[in-house]
Amino acid sequence: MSELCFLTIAEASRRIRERSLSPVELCQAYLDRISTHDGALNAYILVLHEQALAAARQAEAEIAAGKWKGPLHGIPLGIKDIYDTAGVATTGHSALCRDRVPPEDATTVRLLREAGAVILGKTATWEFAIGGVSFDLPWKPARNPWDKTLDPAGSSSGSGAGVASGLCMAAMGTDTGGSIRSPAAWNGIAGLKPTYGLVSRRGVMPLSFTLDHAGPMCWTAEDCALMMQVLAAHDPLDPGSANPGPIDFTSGLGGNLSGLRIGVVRHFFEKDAPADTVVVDALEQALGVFQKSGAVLKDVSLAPLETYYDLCALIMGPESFSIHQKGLTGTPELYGALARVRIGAGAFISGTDYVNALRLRAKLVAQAAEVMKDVDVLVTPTRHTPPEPLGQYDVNSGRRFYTRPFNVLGLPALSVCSGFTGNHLPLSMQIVGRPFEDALVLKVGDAFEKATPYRQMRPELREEAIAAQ
Amino acid sequence: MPEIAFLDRLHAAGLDSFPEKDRAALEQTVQSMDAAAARIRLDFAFADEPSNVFRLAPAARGTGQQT
Repeated sequence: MSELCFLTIAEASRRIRERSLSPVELCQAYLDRISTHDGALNAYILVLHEQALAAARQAEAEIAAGKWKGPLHGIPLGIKDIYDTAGVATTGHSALCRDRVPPEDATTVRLLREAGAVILGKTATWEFAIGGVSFDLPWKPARNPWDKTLDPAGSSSGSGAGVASGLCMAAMGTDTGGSIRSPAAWNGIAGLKPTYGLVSRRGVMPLSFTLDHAGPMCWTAEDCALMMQVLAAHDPLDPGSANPGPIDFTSGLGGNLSGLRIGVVRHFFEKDAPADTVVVDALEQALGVFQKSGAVLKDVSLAPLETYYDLCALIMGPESFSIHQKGLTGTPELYGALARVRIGAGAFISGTDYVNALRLRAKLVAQAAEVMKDVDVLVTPTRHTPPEPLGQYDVNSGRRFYTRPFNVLGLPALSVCSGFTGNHLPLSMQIVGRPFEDALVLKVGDAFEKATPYRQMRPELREEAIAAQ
Repeated sequence: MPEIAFLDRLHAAGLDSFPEKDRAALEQTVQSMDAAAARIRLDFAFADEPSNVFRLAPAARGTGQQT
């Protein structure tokens, strides 16, 4: 029944609503697939077999009684293991929190449950969403389903690998410097970092208060829109929560791009940090698709990529160290080496440099707003390369890619699959909008996906190959 | 400005117990952050506010001292 595991939310919810697909049958298909394949992928660190089946049975009973709650009712999801789940361990993939069981759900988890979603389990992450591919933690790192020797990217690595390989229909990720979009890119799926403040971070382990974003990771932009219909809600318990009023994230789906003005930030990927030719070629082809759909292209300039990297480091550093000061000074041995170093370095940034980084950030936000008066969205690649070997990319010294500017700016940014290499590895493109114009970003991503064949390809997971490893 | 030895900085940060085997990697990362900080020490105007200025919300009606 693994074909059920490759339905999109849009397809599955239609069938669930008309009662030609049972949420229990769907949940069981995912649990079976996880049992068969996750031993080689490590997408999950905890699978909630009984709880998931109970939620699926409840969804089935409610729908049979005519109480359909909406498109997420009966949909099986993975939750990154930094989102609190009431009564279920939430570890941040760290020995430090191995036995941490929160009493309450994160706001977003509560919203998903209220919408009838079925939570299959907690997905692997880089330690505290920052560490990197680590082999010194209580759980193994997730692997890339397109080639298990490759990196699924992070930090929402299990969520990305799980969605791509049909081990969950969608998942929650978080993004402080690219941690939704990067694994979306290297797993060939869609991932939305919403506008800062649009989705609550209450009950999500913080990494950097002013850069953290929570958001959906799905097979398609359309599914991201369906998730956002539930996830976007003002939360008075999140100090960063915005209240922009109702937004219909599905409003642009299926629409055309006639007259859309697209700004291409070429200096990022041609001059500041040149992307691989295969990535640039895929982007140029995507731009051609947009033009054919009636969009108008224009090259635009933002600050150099290095400046955004500097600000990310100088803001994330002190904020993350303040969160982990007690742990790193008291029990540093409970952290993996990568997280220990990356978080520990934040202790060395002066207060003045932190505040100056925030002052420069305000200027860059104003600069981007000025640029975006002349264009409706920006486009860049997401990652500079196709997926690389597991554990080889060095987060500190590795070549730069293009996600961090939009954490600094807080703008909505969607990564979609822009094609494949000759050996079937996914390539990526990022679509960025003005504040709270997430629906437009999703519309553009949806239009691209529907105009291209890339949503027809899934990674092949062969049981015999897995057993041999 | 006199250069401060990394070990002194480690002590000042309360990280004396930081594992020896990771200290070289930490020092390298700190050096890259020092360079980042140097690059953004610009000539800010007095009035340049940071992006996360302090904000308050009005007190909700019906709360506060009863008369």
